[in-house]
Amino acid sequence: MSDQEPSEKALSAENEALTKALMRERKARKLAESLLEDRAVELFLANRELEETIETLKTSNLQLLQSEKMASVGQLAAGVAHEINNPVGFISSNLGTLRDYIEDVRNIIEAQRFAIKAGTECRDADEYAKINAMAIADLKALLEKADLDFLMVDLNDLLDESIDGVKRIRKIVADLLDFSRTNSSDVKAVDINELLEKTISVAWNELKYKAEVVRDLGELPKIYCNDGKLSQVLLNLLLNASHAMKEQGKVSITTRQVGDNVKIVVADTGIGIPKDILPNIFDPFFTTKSVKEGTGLGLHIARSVIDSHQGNISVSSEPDVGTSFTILLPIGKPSA
Amino acid sequence: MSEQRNLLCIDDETGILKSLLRLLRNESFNVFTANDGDEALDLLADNDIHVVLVDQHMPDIDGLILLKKIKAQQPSVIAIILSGLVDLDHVLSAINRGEVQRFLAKPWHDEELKTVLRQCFHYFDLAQANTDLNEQVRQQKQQLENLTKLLGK
Repeated sequence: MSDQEPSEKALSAENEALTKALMRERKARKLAESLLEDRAVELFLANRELEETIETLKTSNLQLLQSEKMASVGQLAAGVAHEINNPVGFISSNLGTLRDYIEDVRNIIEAQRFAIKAGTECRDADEYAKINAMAIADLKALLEKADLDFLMVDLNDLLDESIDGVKRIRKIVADLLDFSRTNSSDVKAVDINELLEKTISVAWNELKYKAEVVRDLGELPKIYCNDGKLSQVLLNLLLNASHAMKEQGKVSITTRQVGDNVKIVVADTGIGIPKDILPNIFDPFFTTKSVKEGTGLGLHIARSVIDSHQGNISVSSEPDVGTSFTILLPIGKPSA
Repeated sequence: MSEQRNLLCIDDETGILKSLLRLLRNESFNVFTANDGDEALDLLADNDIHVVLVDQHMPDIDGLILLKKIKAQQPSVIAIILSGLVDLDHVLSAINRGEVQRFLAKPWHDEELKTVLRQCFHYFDLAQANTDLNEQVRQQKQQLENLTKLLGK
């Protein structure tokens, strides 16, 4: 028994030690758990913040895209004003002329009415004939002065030309509105040649004073892409081409199907890009233009839009010969 | 002046030219029209043009450059610029260099345009009359000198 006592003592001491250790461990685990939970909450919050940041970035990216788009619309404004002022000029002048024509026609109708009635109240046949002859002579003089034959033919031309002018204004405004509307992120089947024609039409007022536009559009399958963003890229290339012309030049636009890709080439005969800055042209805010002319974002956005379509944009340029941009877009449905 | 006066309108827009022909059909001067720079210079070579109305923006040539060519061919021509795009610096310097008599914006006011054209023809007549009178004075002076010489003998 005597040797049991110390062992019991020892046991109870050990037990106590173990209990203490257990308590310690429990405490430690509790602490660890609460720390872990805090950490988890922190992580959760951080994650949420990140998600919000990504969302904000996405929105700013869209806004940037839109601002750049509006900046190119701004560049087009002067050309559009000129293009609208032309038809407005001749339509309003034609309307003024039309009023004169109608005045002539009205006078003739009045004179005809008068000629029909003139002298009918006379009882004397001679007097009637005299008054009637006078009225008819007046009418004839009026007809001659108004040159009714010319007037009738020209009336049609005047109306046709004016209606044509109105149609043109309508198209200019519709094209521009179509282009300016906010980009959606929708991807749909797009005929690239059709998109090119629409974009050329928006840039036309700018292009036609600078360059002859030569199209060589091959047969293409429709491809899945975002037409608004792609049109923005194409407009950028076209405006750059136009800005690169010192005097009259040529802009060639070529499309082809190459294997699983659609290839778009926009080439100009402008001043070209110096070799030392060629690697920088896709950098954001890199520009050789004045603040008034460019944002320095056009080509950067072009590359990011093409990248998001799993495509590729490349450039080749020779000073004083010209610059050529080549875009490759996959025909298959991209995830972007 | 009984002599026939001629106006040449140059614009790449047929619609503009035709509306001008209509507007000016009852004026005292003839109206010629040209669609581009080459046509204008050809018409200028074949006809006695006194006043030109030039579009500032044409695809084949800038209006002010065309005007320089016209003036080189016929220095006495009076020039009016008709523009849809007021590029003020460009136009002001052209007016101040004396190359352009008047400047009109598109869309124009019909009556204003007519008044400006009449004034320009009037100005041309005055300039012409001045040249004629100077020539007359020069001749008479010459005659007078000859007479004085004769008297002196």
